[in-house]
Amino acid sequence: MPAITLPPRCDRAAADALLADLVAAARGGRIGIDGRQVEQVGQAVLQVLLSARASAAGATIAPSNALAEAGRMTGLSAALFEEAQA
Amino acid sequence: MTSEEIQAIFFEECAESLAAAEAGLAACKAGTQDADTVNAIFRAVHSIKGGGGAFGYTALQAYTHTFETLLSEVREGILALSAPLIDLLLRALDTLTDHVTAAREGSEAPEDAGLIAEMTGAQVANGGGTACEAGAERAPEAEAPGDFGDFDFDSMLDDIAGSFAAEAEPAGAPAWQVRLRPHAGAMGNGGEPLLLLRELEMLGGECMSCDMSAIPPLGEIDPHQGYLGWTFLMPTAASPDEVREIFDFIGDDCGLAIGQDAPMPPMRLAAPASAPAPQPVAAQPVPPPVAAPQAQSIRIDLPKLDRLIDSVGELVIAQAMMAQRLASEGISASEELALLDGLTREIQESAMAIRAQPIGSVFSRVPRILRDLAASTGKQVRLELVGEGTELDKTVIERLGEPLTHLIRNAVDHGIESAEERVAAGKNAEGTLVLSAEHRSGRILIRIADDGRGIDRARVLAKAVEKGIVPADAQLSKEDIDALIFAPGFSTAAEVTSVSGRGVGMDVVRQNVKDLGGRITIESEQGKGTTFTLTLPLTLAISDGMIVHVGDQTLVVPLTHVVESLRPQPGDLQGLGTGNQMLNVRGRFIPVLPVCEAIGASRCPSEAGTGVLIVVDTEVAGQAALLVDDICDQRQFVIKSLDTHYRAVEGVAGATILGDGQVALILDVDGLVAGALARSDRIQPERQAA
Repeated sequence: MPAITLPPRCDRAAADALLADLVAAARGGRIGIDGRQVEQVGQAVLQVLLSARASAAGATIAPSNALAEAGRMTGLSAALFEEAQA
Repeated sequence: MTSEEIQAIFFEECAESLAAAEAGLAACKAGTQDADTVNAIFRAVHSIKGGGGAFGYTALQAYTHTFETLLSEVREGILALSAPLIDLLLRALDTLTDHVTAAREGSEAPEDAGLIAEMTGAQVANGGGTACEAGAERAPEAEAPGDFGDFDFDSMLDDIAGSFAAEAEPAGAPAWQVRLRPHAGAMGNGGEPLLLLRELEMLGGECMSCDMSAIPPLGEIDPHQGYLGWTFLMPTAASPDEVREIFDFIGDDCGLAIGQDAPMPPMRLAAPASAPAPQPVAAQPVPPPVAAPQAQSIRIDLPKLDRLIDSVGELVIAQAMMAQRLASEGISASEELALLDGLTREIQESAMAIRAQPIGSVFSRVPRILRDLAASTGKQVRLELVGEGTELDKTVIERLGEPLTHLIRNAVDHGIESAEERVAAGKNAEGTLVLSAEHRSGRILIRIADDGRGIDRARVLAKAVEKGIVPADAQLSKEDIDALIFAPGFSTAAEVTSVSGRGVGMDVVRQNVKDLGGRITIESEQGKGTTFTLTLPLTLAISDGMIVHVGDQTLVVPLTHVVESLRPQPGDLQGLGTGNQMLNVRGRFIPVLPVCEAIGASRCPSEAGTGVLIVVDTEVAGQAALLVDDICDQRQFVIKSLDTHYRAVEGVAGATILGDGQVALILDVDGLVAGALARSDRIQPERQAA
């Protein structure tokens, strides 16, 4: 399973880099996304993560507290982190 | 524009907002409590909160949220603006200033829990403060006026953990919904929609659902577009206006629909995904003008402005060169030349005016300094500001802050007496500090006047003798004794305090002022108070001067020092010791300094009677008469730093280029006179004629 690690600062610039990595990784099957170092996250990265989750390959995200909190605040916890949603 | 550049603009605007809030609160304290003043304070804090949120400074944002909530009660007429409340708001502003500094420097946010609790408790909604009569009608749930500062911890917790607020709603209270859809622009220029969502949460809102149906597959998604839409449930305590204010900053870049049945705003994709529409950044964080329309303005990088000033300086030189060339051809009185001269001066003044800023930006820091001093010394000081609108060069303003701060600290620590001493002396228990600024003949005069005890000259002299600064038998005038407090290492404070008294400050103050091309003088009357007067140039780039010849040299004497010039009659000069001469100026004797000796020029006039004497005023040695061969012109000159192009030279302040292309040295009159007097060992520069 291809693995991708999210940077501490997941801003718009990080979203561009992440998208390129995810597109490449999606060819190898389900993607493991390590988000345990994330300290800050913005809408751009959340959108890319949602897209990856909805892709044919699917993705599993391990969140940091900050990422989990962003999921809670935006009402996207289930869509981002729950396995049943994958 | 990078995120860093936008942040820099944010911090500049924070400084402006803090100054505006300070001015507004000072006006409130002085009794001006109209809607415009209160609105201005509210807008200033609101503006900082908006920017703080947009850049993710959560501590700053959380703090300003509470501050703003309290101010909104005042603005809406719910909470009466009492003296204790103004005091609380001033303290809150000081902590806000510390928050902004912490955010800018990336340091730890200041301790604010106590103030947040106080501010929350002061809100009428939480049973604090004194409700206005009109406000009480509008807020029937407000409890009877209680003691100020008697706060309710439950309400405070509600405010901090906004998500609990919805649960705390009375049963059956009609909550309402807001739907929002941030577009691409909301994510541009350092903006982040999630921070706005957090603000909704702070108002007590809770995310009900997120519409993510528009998210495209991985191969097609453009992360810079906005694909998500949210529905938030807001408590009744939050008003739609408060929600709209959160989104004021991004304007049309976020679709907003308020109301139970309002549909989710439609998605709007920016046309070329690779080139997001640029935002008018400077205009972005400024809320629409509420009352008077503001003058239009643009922000310019300082280096660009400095290049313009440099070019204008060169223009002044070129114009002078052309005038000289034409004069040598015999066409000196041409009308066109006079026109060009006028235009050059006009362009120069306009260019300087762009760099000019009101001194109010420096004065606005003073109330904070006085509050801190009141806390540490226990002395209450009333501040009077005069001429805050007086403008001077930005560089001068920037470098003025430090000496001014020190003078104010000095005035409060040494000048103004304790309340008991003041009452015993028949004065008001509260001291008064008057800070004034005015333009006077091309210079700016800044006065710092206190009504304290004045300089104790006997004590100052004794201390100076003790420290070996002056000999024990020195005969000094009042002015000379006052000037001793600027001597390096001088301090009369019995003990060193954290405020002042280390004896390094006043020396540095004088050096700072001198570095700015200015002078500092003291007037003091025992028991009545002391006034420090700073005379500063309006600009550091161009000045007026007298062009003089000394031997084979052409020199410039800055006009600010010149008192008068005269050709002495034989009886006006008196010999003193070996080779020294004194000039009798209307009954007062001042030393004559041959400039040629001081600068080492050759072919000097052999005696004072054959040259011209220029009477100059100096800071350290009173008046002196500079002996030169002749005065050839009086004109503007562009100051070129000698330090930058060569090295610092004693007695020389800089250099300039004359109309004929020749380089002329600008005399450092203070340094020259002090140096020459020290050499000729004339300790007493002035003597009253018998």
